[in-house]
Amino acid sequence: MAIKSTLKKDLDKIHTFKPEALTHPKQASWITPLSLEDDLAQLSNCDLVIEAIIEDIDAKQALFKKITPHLNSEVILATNTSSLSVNQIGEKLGKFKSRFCGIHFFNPPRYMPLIELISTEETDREILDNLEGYFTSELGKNILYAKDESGFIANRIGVFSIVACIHHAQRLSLGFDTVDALTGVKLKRPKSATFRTADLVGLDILKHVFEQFERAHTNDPWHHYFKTPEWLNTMVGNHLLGEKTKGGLYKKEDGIIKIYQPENQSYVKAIYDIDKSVKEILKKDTSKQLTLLKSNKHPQAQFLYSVIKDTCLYSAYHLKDIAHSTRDIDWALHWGFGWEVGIFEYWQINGVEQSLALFLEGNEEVSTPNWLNDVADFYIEEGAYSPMEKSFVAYSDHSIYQRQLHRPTLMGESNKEQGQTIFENDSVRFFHEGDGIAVFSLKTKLNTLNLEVINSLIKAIEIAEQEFKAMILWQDSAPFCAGANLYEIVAGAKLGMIEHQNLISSFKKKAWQLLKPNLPSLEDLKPINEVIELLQQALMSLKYSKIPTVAAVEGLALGGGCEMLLHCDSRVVHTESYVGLVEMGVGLLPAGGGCKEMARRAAKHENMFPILAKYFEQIGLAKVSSSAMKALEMGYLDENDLIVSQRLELLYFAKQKAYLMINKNYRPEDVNQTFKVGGTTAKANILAQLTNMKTGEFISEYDDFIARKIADVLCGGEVDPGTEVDSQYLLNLEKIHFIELLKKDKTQDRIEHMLIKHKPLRN
Amino acid sequence: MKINRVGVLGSGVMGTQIAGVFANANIPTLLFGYQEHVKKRFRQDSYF
Repeated sequence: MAIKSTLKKDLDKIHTFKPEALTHPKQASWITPLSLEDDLAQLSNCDLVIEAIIEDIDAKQALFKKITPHLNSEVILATNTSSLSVNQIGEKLGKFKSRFCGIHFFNPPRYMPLIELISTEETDREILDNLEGYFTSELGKNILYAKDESGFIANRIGVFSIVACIHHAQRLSLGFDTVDALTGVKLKRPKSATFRTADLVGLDILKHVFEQFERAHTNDPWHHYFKTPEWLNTMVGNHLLGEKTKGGLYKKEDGIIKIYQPENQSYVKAIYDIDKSVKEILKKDTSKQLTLLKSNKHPQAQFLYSVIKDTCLYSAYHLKDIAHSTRDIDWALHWGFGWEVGIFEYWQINGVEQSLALFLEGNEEVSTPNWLNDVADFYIEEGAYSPMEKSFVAYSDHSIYQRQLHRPTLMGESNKEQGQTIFENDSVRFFHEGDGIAVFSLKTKLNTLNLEVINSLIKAIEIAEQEFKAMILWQDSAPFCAGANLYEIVAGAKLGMIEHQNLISSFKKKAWQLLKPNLPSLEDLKPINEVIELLQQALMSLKYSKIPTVAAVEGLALGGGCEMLLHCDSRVVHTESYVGLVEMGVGLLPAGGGCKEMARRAAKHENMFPILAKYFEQIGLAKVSSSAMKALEMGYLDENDLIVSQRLELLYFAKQKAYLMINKNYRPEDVNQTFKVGGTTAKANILAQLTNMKTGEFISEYDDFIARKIADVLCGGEVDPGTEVDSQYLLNLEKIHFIELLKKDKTQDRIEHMLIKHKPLRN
Repeated sequence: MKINRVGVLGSGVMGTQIAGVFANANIPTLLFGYQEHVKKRFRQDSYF
């Protein structure tokens, strides 16, 4: 079938989304662009049809009327809407009414984990069950059932919180930047907080949302909050819409971030000022926050108290109308708005009754639902409170969740520690679940590697070889592993402990005490060259142990994290995995067997030169894959690895993979096996490429210096092309070059810069 | 019933990206759009 050119052009748009809509450009081949005018007959082949046109009730109804004659009778029919009544959209669907429901995807749909499902009065339960399983497992989404109320659950509460921020900021005369400093990470919410989020979404959309709230919720006790603020009307009128217009509440000018001043419609430097006393409260234990905020008279404290109080009471007041239990609202805030603590979780941490008493104290106008008087907690071991059921309800028992071996729970709900611990320390937990498979899990910040992790890994493999049938590397939550703990490396280097232990002066000892508190004690510290040897030993035994090893990967797998997955026998990888050997960014090269593994992989190709050149470029430019599909293309995964959509199914599938290898009588490869390297010829090729980059000023002098070392290891040093080498030979080369680089001031500067500024230094 | 093929109606910002979600999961997807001469301006008024 010939595809009409305009439609083809339409589909090309899919490659232009930022952030990227597709995990790999070639995924577009799964999409056939068709015409709503001429091709409706094709609908009869579809098992699920989702309408996603403009938010206009007449347009939606008219489209459904037009398509229904072409549907097969078994179809599942859905409308994607965020603001219209699903019942109303579907009211003229006739015999398809029972096969129709609402779906609310969040934008951008690839990255937002939440889908709200909305049934109508007539939707078949079987349809919803089918979609719940399908969206959960095949698309990797998290499903919440919402009632057919404007804004559903997430936007109703999440947007209210923004509206409340705007209301109270105006009342207390706080600047937009101050509000963002107060409502971002310090409150365990996303960094973009309130107004930076508004800029990203678009101020025109925010204005629209205000109007919609004001229109849709006329009997709301908080209705007076929903009047569009004057400054918002003015900004939209002046076409200051946020990110898409390069000017919104924030604007970057001459490298300075500036914030909008509504009073005089101008921008001043953003200072994100937080009062010291308020900062102290936010640092403290959450359970005291509400009391402390209320008693602090600083406008910033009053602001936070008011916004949180309003959001708590608003959520309680509307819970019965929009959701089934408190859990629905909290997960909606986690998954739809990136909050780390839901509103009822926060309330419960501060004490349900105590907080309510605070809210009511000296305030006659508060609207509270009656059920609030019946509960001492929103969450207990048995589940979450449902005012409809007047009891605590359990999670959905859909069979698809049997694959979620570690199903997340909210604070206060039952959260039993998984399995039996084999051993545990500050950095790792090694456990099993009675099925003969041992699981190695990191507990460090961003799951980084440190000396304790490396030692634990060696110990874990020894135990697993004796007592278990397989071993899995898995983390409770992303990332898989963000790399090595740079503090340990730079501290070691600065202390003169690259190769020797005995250079530590008392002065340096003092400096050491001042360094990050989570470093190991001085006595436990080893010279860096020994640490590298240990890391190499740990990863080699991971690869050549008698039992199969599987890495369950999601999120970042960088540097040492990437080397870990490269040394497992198999990998189960979440679609959103960002993999790369990025050591170059801090002036180093992969020395945990990363270069060695890539050289080995290249050796499997008939013509290894172009493969080596590709791997060199990836390592030399510290490239990171933007998805699992890209990681496969980059050679970090192989065709036998399993890519899964649902992160909560990773451990389940890792175990399936392990069982498969156990049942196939797994035997490790021979550790002494040799392989061919590219040698001096391959290196000359690569270095020619490098010279071009240097002349073009794509890379600095020092980049070039590091790159030459990477090329040397990847090609096996000064040997003839085709020379057979073993793994240990390349590991030694890695170590020698790593140590030499670490001794350079420029490398140490790069590491420090990364630790302080969180971005690479080009020197 | 197994969902083997999906149809998405509307090739605006949301429709296209929703089709992308299915395509990322290797699911055959038909994306129905209006052709240029009948295309109305797409108004994205989803919340967030």
